[in-house]
Amino acid sequence: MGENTTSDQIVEEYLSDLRAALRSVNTSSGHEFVFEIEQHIAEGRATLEAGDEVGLRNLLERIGSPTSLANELQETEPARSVRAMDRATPWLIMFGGFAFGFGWIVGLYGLWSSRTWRIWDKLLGTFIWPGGLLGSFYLFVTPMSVTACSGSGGPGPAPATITCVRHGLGVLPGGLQFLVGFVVVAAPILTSLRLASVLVHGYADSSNPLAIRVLRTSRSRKNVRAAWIIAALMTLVFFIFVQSRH
Amino acid sequence: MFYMVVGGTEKLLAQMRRGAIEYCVLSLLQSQDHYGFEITRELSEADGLVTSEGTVYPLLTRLRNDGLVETYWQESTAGPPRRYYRITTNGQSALRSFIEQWARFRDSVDDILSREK
Repeated sequence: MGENTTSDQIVEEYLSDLRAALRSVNTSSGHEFVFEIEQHIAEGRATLEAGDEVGLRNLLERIGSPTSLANELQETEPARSVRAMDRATPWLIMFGGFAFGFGWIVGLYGLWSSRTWRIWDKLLGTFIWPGGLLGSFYLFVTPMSVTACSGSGGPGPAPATITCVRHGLGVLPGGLQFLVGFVVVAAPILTSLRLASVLVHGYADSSNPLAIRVLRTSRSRKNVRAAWIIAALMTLVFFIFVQSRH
Repeated sequence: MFYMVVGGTEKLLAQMRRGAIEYCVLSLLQSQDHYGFEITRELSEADGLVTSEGTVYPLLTRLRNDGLVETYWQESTAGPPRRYYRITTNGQSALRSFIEQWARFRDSVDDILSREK
């Protein structure tokens, strides 16, 4: 029993090294590949004596090192057809609204006419949200500056009273305003980030169309971190802009 | 500069090896269907052909994607079901044409390489 555990550990270590190596390369068939290697190892172990550690290590060596396998997989993957326009599309979706709204429409066309993205991501890019960051700006700024003033009091010596009520985001306390505002700004940034990630990494698993390895590579993590920071800064900018108008 | 040239040669050889191994696999499948593990073992019996057995699997996937082989699952007494590979008619004709061209190519290269001795 003890020998079996050691062998299992060796195999588990190898497989986790393999998964790690696959995560750091640009490939979408990693899942299936690991599965096939697992099967290969199982077949190989069936020919070995239980507890034959040396035989197991030889088997794993014959299969190849995780890094070289990951490289091989990356090199032999057929190039996915990515149109020239696709690289611009996530940016157009995010910023295009500021080009008189026209840029966003062009981005939308690029999104829907492309084969790079699947239907869910196309819907995501369209509805979260319309107009991209311009939409955020609109949502953010306009409600907060809406103040409805109504007057009461009639003609004559009595002074008219005017009550102004703030609507929209202005109703919320300051801190909550900022939080909601942050979500409103972060959403299209993250949407565009996801679109860009699918563009680069493709879909990991054909059986799970929503899955992409967006947070696994260190570069993606840096991008997401940068996105949060940009979103926070932009929210701050909008916030200050709105406050200064009162 | 020299390093770049050496790197280029390695890449070329790797690509040539991949291409040739694909047809070796097709040839193995001509007589009989095989499952992945069997194929890797048969290939590694040929000296220096396969550097690491794991690289055979992406190759098999490519053959499948190109329609040169098809796969099916079969129960096995030894454990979980196995994925078997079977050559298709497209695979047969691709193999035939490769065999023709390979013999000429191999002989020509050998001929030139042996001339300057």
